[in-house]
Amino acid sequence: MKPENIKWRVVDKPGETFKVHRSIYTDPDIYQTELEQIFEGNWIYIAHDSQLPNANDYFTTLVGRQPVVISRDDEGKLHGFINACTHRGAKICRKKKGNTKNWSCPYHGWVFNPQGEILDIKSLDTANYPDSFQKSDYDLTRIKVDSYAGFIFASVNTEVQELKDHLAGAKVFMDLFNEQSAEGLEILPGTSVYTHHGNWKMQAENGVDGYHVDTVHASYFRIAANRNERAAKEGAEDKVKAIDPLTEQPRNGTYTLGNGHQLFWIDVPNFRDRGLGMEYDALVERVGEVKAKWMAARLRQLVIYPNVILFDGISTQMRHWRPLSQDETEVTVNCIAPVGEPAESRTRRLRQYEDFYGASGLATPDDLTEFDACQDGYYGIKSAWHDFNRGMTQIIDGPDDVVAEITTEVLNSAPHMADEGLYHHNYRNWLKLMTRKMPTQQGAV
Amino acid sequence: MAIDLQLTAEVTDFLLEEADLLDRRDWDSWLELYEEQCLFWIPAWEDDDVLCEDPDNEVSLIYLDDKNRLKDRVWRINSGLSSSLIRMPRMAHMVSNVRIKEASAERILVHAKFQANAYKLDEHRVDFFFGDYHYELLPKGDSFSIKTKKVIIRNDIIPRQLDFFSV
Amino acid sequence: MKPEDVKWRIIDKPGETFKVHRSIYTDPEIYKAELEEIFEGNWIYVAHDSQLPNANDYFTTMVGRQPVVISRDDEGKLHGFINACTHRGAKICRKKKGNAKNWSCPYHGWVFNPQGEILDIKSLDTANYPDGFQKSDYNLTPIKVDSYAGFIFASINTEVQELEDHLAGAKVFMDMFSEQSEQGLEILPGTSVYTHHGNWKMQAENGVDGYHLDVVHASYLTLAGMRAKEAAEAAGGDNIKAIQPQNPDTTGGNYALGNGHVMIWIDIANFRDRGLGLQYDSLVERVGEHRAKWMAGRLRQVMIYPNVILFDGISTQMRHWRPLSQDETEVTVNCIAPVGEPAESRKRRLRQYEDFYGASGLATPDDLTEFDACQEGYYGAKSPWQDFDRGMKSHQMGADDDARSIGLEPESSAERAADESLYHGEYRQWVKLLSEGAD
Repeated sequence: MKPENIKWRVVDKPGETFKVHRSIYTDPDIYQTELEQIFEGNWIYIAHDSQLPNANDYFTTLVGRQPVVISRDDEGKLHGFINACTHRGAKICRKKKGNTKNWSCPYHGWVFNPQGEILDIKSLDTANYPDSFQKSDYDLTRIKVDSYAGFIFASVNTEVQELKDHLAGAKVFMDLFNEQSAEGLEILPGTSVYTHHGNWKMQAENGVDGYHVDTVHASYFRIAANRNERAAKEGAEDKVKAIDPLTEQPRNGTYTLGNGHQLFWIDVPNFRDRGLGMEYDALVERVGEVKAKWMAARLRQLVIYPNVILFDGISTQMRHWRPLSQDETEVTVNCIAPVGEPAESRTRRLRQYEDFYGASGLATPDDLTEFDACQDGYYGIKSAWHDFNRGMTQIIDGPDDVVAEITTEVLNSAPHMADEGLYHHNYRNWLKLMTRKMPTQQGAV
Repeated sequence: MAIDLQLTAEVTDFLLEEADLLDRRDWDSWLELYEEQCLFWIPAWEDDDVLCEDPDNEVSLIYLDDKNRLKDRVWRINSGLSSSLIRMPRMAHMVSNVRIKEASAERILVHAKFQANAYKLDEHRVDFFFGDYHYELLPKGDSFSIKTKKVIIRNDIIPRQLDFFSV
Repeated sequence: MKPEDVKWRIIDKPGETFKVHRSIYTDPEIYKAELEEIFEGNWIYVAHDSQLPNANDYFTTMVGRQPVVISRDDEGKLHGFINACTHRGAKICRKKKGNAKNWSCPYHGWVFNPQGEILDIKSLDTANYPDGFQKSDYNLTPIKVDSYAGFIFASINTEVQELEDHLAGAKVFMDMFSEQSEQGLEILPGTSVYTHHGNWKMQAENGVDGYHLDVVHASYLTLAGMRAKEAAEAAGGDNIKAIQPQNPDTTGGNYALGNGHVMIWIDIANFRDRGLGLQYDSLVERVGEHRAKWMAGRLRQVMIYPNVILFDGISTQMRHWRPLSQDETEVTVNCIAPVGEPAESRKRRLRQYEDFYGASGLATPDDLTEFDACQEGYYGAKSPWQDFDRGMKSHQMGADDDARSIGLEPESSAERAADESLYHGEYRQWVKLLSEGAD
């Protein structure tokens, strides 16, 4: 897709207006270009360290449309490959995850190791390959894999920038997330996958949309309040203790962190009811007052562009997604928790996670319904533009006083989480990725 | 014919037990339900309404006339040598409409309906077969053993897999 | 699709390398071109003579995306038509097969005969058609239909070359297949249809892939060995007698037969356990020692491009397929047998057929799982090329001694069944059809 066919869809006049054309959510050509330029051209979150902890563990997933396998070698180093045999293309590792020293392709029996090297070509002695034959030409096709703070990313574009540079200002907040425990984090057993009607970009918007919270999740907050009332009245125990960031209008805001990454935050009044809040005093001792406040008392939702959100507030969630078409998205959610936390905190964390998140929780289904309603609405192309102008006059260049306590690597700050200024960064980055020149695709000879 | 409620209840429980063993993949216990000289048979269809009822001259989808052939299929699952059986589907069998068609001290003929639901992990897809079970059961102690199980699949376009556990 | 958008996907450097780009299995544009140029431009296997043996029998099927009906007239001649009424397009023959002298369209009652001629237009007397009206303009739209050795083919493209020319070297093996019985062959009752994830071209490759046999079918081959051993020990118990072919990686051979048709062969150690092997001595008497060896002692899998394989080895099967999309394929399988074979042979053939073939057998499900795995792997577009280089240095153009001994003049011969050089013939034809159209 030519840059001039994309650029007009974003109107960016700082201080005046910021508009996107709703065809970006519905146009199949835009979607195709997103797959090539973003999902198969950029870093994509794929897994957490704890999902393949041991030597010879592997983990399979998709990056864009491409099947990949990530492995860990004897020295703990991560590798990634296109999950297709170099002989006839059959997927080699077939299960979601596993542990094996030799990968034997079930179709014609070729064998590889977790470093992607070909170990055996069946009946090579009778193969009569041409003179130019080199066994090593049949090693698996390598992709880029790297991790930061336990979060593993991959890119099928081998010329992509270094992961640390890509993560930019998000790293500080990934550290905050990771340092909940001195022993790191672990994905808890129990993965849920759901699909919804609605373009993937709504996932990246809605996860840092502070404006929808009290409307879309009204039923959730009413239930939370009712539980509190009932517990107080009956002297009974509210086992879930829903986190309620809204009733006292605490301080909140948003930041843009570079390369499309964004964050919103809000102080949680009853933070001592949170899994980590129950350990608050010990946490202060370990990481200091400022960090402890950020980690336990401040709800944070961090979008790492384009496909994952780290939730730390109402429990702790990793949510990542994969577009299935311009209209359909597949979402994978996991509860992530500090290694070695006390049993009571672990249980609290799980109940809060199940209560709010996931297609079976009390909040996410309402979000999904809005995605569906938006996607339908976007086809009303006679009403083609929408703006992200809320908070336009309050955008601060660089960090505000709150975030300055922990980092300066912030592009913009906004004093209200309901402000929409962070989306300017989101879509400026989108435009940049969509219109940049990619290395020539292999094959188009 | 007067309905023998007691026998119907016992037979129903036996059929539900077989279904549950298949869903739980307890193959050894499942095999124990069968006689040594047994028949496990799924005839193919010839036309819209014509079933192939002559297995020595017409094609069957599965025709196993010896318990060793059932054991072959269980062995294949356990062998790890079959890629189609590496990721087994998650199954739920529903069995209903259980009716005793004939009962004597020697044997009991039973008709029932089934729907066998499969969730296939490779393809993220739900498939199911539905149709009829025709059993010939032999009394064995205070329960039964299976002499013949004939399965008539009514939706016979096969989505990749049809094995003894799929129906 | 322009020829230059197709041609770069095949790299054909004889003696050096033969590569295909995996986008040929996943690109929707390629798929569309295949429907037009191959499935609706070339001869397609549709049925066997024995499926419509009598006058006024009909048989309905699809050629590419198009519904067709094949019929046999009073004189035994085959006809074929687009199965759509010339009035409003309703499918006329609705069942898989039937027998009728008059085909009456259930929508507005127009009547045709099995030669496709329109017999009656309901209420023609009050029709007030324009002056240009000619009743015969409403005859059914004919397609090309012809048969060879009992195998019926059809083509939507009425300019396609003659069937005999199209079949090229495959005819030698079709004759061999058909001659199992002097009375010809018959499709046995009991058709199975299955669908699978995976491009149709994998069907055309895998059916003549000797290299996958011991890996994909390891569980089958191990079982066959175990059964034979048990039977020897217990004297009984194995009433299937699974066929055990020799090692395709080191023995047998393959041929490219022209126009994309290809075949592999492997000798069978226990061939006297086969349906035809049970009759071996009388077969030798009828066709001679050498031909009998080819027919009963040698597994042959003959792929007639683009949509059917004749299997003669582990039982006898006709397998043909139809693409549903670039990702999905529908396969129809039949057991085919010599007319009038003894009951024991027929029973043996059936049990061996059910044991191995079909989505409910012990072998096919593993093939289908590999097609699924390949189709997913092909979307790994960062690893796009695959070669068919195995056997590159040892295959020869033209006939080898084995080919000459049966009067076969193939495009190329290879000395092992597992060699991949036969695919060069297959994909040269693919490129030709997509860039130049059918002859």
